[in-house]
Amino acid sequence: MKASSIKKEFARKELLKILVAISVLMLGCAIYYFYIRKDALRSAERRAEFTLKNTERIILVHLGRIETTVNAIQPMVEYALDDPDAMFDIARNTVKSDPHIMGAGVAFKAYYFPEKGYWYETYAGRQKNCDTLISKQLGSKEHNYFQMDWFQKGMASSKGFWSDPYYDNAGGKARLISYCLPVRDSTTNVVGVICTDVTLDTLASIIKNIKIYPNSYCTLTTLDGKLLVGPPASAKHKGKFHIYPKVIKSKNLIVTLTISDADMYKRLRKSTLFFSLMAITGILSIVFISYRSMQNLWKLNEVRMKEQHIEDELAIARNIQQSLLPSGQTIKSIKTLDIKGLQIPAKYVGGDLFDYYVRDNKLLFCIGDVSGKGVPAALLMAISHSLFRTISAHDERPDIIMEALNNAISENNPDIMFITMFLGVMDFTTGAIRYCNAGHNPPILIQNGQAKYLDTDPSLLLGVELSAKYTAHELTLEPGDTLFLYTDGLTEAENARKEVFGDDQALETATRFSSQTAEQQIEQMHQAVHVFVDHAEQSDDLTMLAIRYVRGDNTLVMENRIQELDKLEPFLNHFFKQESLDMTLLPQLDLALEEAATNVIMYAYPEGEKGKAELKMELKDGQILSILSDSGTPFDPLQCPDVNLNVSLEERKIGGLGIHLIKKIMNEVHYEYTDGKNVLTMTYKL
Amino acid sequence: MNITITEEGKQFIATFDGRLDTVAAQQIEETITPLLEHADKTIILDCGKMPFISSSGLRIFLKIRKEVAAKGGQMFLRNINPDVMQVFKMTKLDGVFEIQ
Repeated sequence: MKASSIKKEFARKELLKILVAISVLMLGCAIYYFYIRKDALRSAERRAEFTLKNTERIILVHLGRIETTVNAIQPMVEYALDDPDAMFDIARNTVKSDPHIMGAGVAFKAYYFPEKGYWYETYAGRQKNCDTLISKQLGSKEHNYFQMDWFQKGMASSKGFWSDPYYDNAGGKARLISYCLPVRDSTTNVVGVICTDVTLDTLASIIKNIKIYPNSYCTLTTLDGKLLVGPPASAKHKGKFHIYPKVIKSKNLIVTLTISDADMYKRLRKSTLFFSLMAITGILSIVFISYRSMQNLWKLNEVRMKEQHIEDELAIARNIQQSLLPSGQTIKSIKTLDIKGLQIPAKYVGGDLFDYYVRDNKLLFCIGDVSGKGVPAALLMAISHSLFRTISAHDERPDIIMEALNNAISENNPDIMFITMFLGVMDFTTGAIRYCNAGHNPPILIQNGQAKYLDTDPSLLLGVELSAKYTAHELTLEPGDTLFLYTDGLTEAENARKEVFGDDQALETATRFSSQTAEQQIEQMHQAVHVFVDHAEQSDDLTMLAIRYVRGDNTLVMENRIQELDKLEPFLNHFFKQESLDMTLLPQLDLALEEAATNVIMYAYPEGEKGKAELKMELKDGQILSILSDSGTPFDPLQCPDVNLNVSLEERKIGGLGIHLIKKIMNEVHYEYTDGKNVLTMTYKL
Repeated sequence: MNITITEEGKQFIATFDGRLDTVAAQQIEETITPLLEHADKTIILDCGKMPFISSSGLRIFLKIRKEVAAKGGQMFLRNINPDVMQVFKMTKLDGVFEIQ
């Protein structure tokens, strides 16, 4: 994944987190708003209820007082039933008794006072200025009170009652309400009705002044909806309103409180605005903080990615470096060589190197330690490695190779890095080594069960001085000897107590494994260091290379290809040298064995089938034994009729010459087919 | 194994350089074609730089010898190395080849 897309992905995730956080915050705000709004509504309702109850009480107290006043008149009227004219006084006194009573009258049933006629209604009423009272008999054809509600209801009633409020159109548009009482004679028969007109103006002014919110108002209506106290002129009719009615049934009145939505939630709006500002500030802060932390995270992430990248590259570099190390596959066929190398870098990549390869019957090898550790050392190590390969491909004199290496490295070495190196060229047919030591740790020579440090007479380190001279020395390994090369990662391996493995311990360990194979030697040395170091961190690259010269088992394996015959002569050459045989015998034996091997390679296996020919050489009781075996078709070459050399050339068959030569050169030739193999044993007596 | 063929007057001189072993014999099979084409003339096989010969090598020599005999030419060997001579002797070919 590219870095930019990771960054986008990361940003997307972070953005999502922020959005979720904001959403949660918003949801919280919404829920909170919902609750405080409900609370505002509830508190408004409570205030409205309280106000209305208060208003009701005011109305009831106000009208109740009048009721009491009027009720007191009733017995007076009843007492004076024998004096119709006294009714005027009673009416007048009633009006006078309360400023709210605008008029009072007593109406009697028809002909109750025969002298007064059909209608008799005494009435006293205030004039407009309220100071003067007029009193008169109202009953007439035009004012037929018998037909009026209050009279009929009063006649049928047993106690006082309030009429529906009304406008007195005649008397100056006053809002009035009447309180009526039946009048009974001594026999408790209803004979008339007392009726008082009460002004509602006082109540109206009280109601008008009820204001629990700046724009709230109270109205007063009759039960059937006639408006007694209307909304103020300033009342707005737009927007939403909350209406709370209160019915005062006994007085036939409805008080209604109207509160505008705007008023009800005014404080809420204020706090909402404040709250919104807070929320916006909060959100902006979150976004800002998140952005900053995201930036930091990005930076951190980039650093981490870079680190990861470097680590990946180092891992690749390590693989590359490890791949530079020789696998040992190419020298497996060389029976006189037993080689094993091991490299464990302290860091991902190390500055140690070792290499070996075979060219022209020679083993070219080197071990080196680049100053420093890590990538710079690894780079120089890689350069040195390829220089070694390139230079040694053209020369096999270690001092000359070393000089060329030194010149190549010294020429361009701005960081003054240097290399210690031990370089050798070994003739693996004889065990002779020519080596050159450029300041490297002296290798351990393991010989006859004894281990000692090779006295190498070291030359200058590589990379220090251009055109420096290097000296080569010689050494011959006998079969069973080992040259054990290493870098200072071995002898200077530290344990937790800062003690070093040391030269002596290395030598001691080497003595113990003197008779073992190169692989076992490396393994045991590694084990010894490992045990010594214990859990301490590896401080330096550890590199070891064991080169063991062994007596070959003198077996040559060839595939069934003609070209494989080219291996035969070097093989025999080596065998002759190894056994110190008379070299003049070599061509004959070479010829006989080539003829025998040719037969196997050409004819032992069916066309197109792969197979092998194995030649084993032995020196036994003054005889050279050559045993050639193959797993091909059973065939005894000795059964071929011998060529008749005495017949003329034209009569001779071409072929059969090879067998003839073998028989001629070898003292004994024996064939047998055993274990699924053709085995041809050829003996040559010395 | 290298073979150099030079024409000197009416003679064709083939110089064998290297081991004439089985592998080499197979490789030079085609190289000797010019010699076979001039089998009616005198062909000299110079073995001065040839340290070794196998039966396959002998077959190459015999092939040339056969062609020469058929076309009426002549074939000589010269500068034979003792080891190679030994092989000729073992195969009685020392009597077959005309050796200068």
